[in-house]
Amino acid sequence: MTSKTSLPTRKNEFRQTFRWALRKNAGMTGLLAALLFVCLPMILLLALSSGERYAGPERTETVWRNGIATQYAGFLHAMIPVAAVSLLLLFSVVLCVRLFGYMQNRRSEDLFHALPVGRVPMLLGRWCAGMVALALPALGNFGVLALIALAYRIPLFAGGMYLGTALCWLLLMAAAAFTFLTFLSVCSGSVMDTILSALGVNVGFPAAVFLSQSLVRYTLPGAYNADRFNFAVLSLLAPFPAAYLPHVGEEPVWFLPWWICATAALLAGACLLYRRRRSESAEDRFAFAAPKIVIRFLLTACGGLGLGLAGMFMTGNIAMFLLLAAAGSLVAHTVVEAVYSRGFRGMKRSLRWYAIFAVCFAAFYGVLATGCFGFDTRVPDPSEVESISIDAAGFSSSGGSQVYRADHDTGLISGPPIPLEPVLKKPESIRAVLQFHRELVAKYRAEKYPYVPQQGYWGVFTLRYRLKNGSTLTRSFLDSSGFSEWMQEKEKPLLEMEEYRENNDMVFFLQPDDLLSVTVYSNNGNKGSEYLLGDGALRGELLDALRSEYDADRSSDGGLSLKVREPFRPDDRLREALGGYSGEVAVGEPSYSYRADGEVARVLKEIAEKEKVYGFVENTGPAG
Amino acid sequence: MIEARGLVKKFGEKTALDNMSFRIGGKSVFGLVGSNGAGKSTFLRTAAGIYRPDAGKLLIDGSEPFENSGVKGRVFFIPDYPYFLPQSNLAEMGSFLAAVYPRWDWKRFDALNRVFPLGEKTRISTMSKGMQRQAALICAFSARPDYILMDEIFDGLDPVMRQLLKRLVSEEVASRGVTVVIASHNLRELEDLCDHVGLFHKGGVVFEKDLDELRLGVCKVQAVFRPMPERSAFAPLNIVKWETRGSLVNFVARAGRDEVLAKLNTMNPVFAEALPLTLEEVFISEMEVAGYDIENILADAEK
Repeated sequence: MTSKTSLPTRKNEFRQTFRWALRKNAGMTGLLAALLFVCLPMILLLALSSGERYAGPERTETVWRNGIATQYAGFLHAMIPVAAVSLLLLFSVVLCVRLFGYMQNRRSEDLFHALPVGRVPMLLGRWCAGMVALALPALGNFGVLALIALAYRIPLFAGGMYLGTALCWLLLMAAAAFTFLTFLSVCSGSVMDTILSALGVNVGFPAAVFLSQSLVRYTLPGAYNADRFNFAVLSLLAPFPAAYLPHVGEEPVWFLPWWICATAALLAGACLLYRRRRSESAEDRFAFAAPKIVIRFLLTACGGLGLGLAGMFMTGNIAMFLLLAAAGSLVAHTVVEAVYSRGFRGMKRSLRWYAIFAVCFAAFYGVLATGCFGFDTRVPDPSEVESISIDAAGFSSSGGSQVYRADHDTGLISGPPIPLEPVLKKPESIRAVLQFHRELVAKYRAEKYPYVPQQGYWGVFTLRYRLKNGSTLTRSFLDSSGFSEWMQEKEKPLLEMEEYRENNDMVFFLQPDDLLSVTVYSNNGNKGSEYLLGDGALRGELLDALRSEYDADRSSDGGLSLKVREPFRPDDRLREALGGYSGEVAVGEPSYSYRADGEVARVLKEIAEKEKVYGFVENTGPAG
Repeated sequence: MIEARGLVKKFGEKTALDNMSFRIGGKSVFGLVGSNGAGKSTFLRTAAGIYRPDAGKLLIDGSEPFENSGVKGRVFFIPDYPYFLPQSNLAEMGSFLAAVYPRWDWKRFDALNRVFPLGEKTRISTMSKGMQRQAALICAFSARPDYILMDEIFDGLDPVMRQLLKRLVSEEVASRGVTVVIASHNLRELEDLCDHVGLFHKGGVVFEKDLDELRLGVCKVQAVFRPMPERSAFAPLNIVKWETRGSLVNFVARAGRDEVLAKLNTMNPVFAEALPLTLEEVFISEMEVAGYDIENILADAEK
């Protein structure tokens, strides 16, 4: 049935709906603005003014200004995710209920759907009013934050840039969350179901993906990803948790276009479905059943995988895994169905959906147990390989340095260390690694096939092949198989290769100019002496000495730690060893031990004679 | 004119409007009567563009109302439980409706506010059921629609307000040629107000007639015969309802009063009298024909 109403009329209907909805929600807009003001500009002003008061007369203008700038930047990084994101998400729920709650009440539908206003202009007018009600308070308060920065003459890099990008992310993710709720409102028959569905997707999707990934990681040999879980993927369909990611530096490149497209698609979908929505579905369970089916599937998967994996890890028994997976999924299905149906009336009919889940789960597990179509046995041909990087965390003694993501504006270090993975390019190194990989695959096939979930220990051995066709192939093995001794014996020659050893620690990547000071500890003392490294030649000698004695048979007569310059951008070689990470990095005081009769000890003696003692520090324990 | 052509509306398994076809002429007051669940409210909601038909068509002046603002701007629907915006008063409802109803008349709104003394600034949610209906009527008449659809409008209105409503409706029909459709179980009030009546039962239309024609075409008869003739002797009278007690016979016939009396006189009654039916009596007798009477209901319950 096509609309017989002209576009100008529709535009007028949209305008009237928008104005009215905006006016009716002016109070909510004001409340959000006030709450944001209290949480952001007001607390910031109080913090800055108290910092100013306690600055003391002895502090110089520059030191004071740097302190204020750091305080400002730190405040924004902490409070924008905590206060601004949380408040906007909360108000997106409140505004959605206020603006679209009429769809879920038969009496209110009698009024709204009888009005001479098309459904699409009505939905869009209300959606736009909701967006303005969310965006205006955020814009106003971020404007005040910018004015505060101007008033305190805080440089742009110390928060100004972040303020702009944070505002853009905030508005985009608020739009995504609000549109997501709008979509669910159109699909649901009651406010309760809208809220339950929103909760189901935002909790169920990340949990289901996390648990599925866990099953893959612990079952399929070579699929254990040594990296952290990808939070962006976990929140791919969950705008509420996703809203926090850009503020904690977890957004990949595709994150921005994905959420722009997802928001647009959700809005278009909401318009399309609203035109087809039956008014009589108000106060019913669902106008469109698809979200319920998806959410029930996700939560059933969570119940099954969660309980199954927990049972597996506790007992190590595959029968227990399957039994608990079946029990957990059935209980989750029953609970979700009972909650959605407000009882058990539709339970019997819903079991066909449980059967579909059971088939999907069996197929998924079957694919993993049989090696995922050759995933487990894929070893590239030597002619295909350009280079290989190895991450042997947990299997070999790591170097004495760790590299972190760093923010140049604030100097803040975020996240866990970035693993330093030595890159092997020599043909003999490549051949040796491929031989090891083939033997490992053969051992898995012979002893563990068909695969079952394995309990995890700490060791992870990751091989990243960069192939000549430009692609990469990663195989990551978890020390869960009882192969530890065999693996360590086989890995030893690999880890002792010169090419591996010389790329395994930051000491091989640092330049003499990178060193600022060295702190020397006695073998049994707690105090260390810090020497400023002013002499470039001595810095070079110290690095050479550390490299020559690196990973040697150390008797550990003493220890040292290096202080390295401010966050810097890695060069090509280091970037490759960091797995392609191109942002700024900070090296957290690398520590090494040395022999009393070695070259390092000689250079340290020379430093002690020539360089100025900067101070004494508590021994935090040099790495062996 | 409102026209239903093979109109079907289903709620899950239940068919509320079952292939319904009939017309409501313009510039008239049309009463929709019928059993509970007959489809009266569903019909009104479909005509108001709230429900989309599952099959067939419902046309208002040749156009379908669903998602058609042009048609909806000329129709105003007052449901059985009128809804008002939360925390709103009449003035706010007026502003809300004025923004979307193209022919909204503020002068009429003010005049009606004087007629129904509700208070423009009084919160509607605090008003009684009858007062809320009056508020809905103020909004409906101020929108200046061509079609006013009312569901159980007499509920909660006191006798004076009912009279006032009837007068306002009659004025609207007379002065502006408005078509008013009223679904109600209050047949006494409908009888005063309507010029046409449609009887709904189980999603279908039993009949749709001019009220005068309906009243003149049906009559109830009381007669005494000694001796009582065979029932077959009355067959030509098209009897709808029949009851005998000794020599007394009561029946309802689908025929004019004079026609019935003329036929009865040929059968030499001791006494015979034919009276016109009230709308309620017509309703009950027609519903009995359709199998909807107390005896049937009780018999079904016992099964």
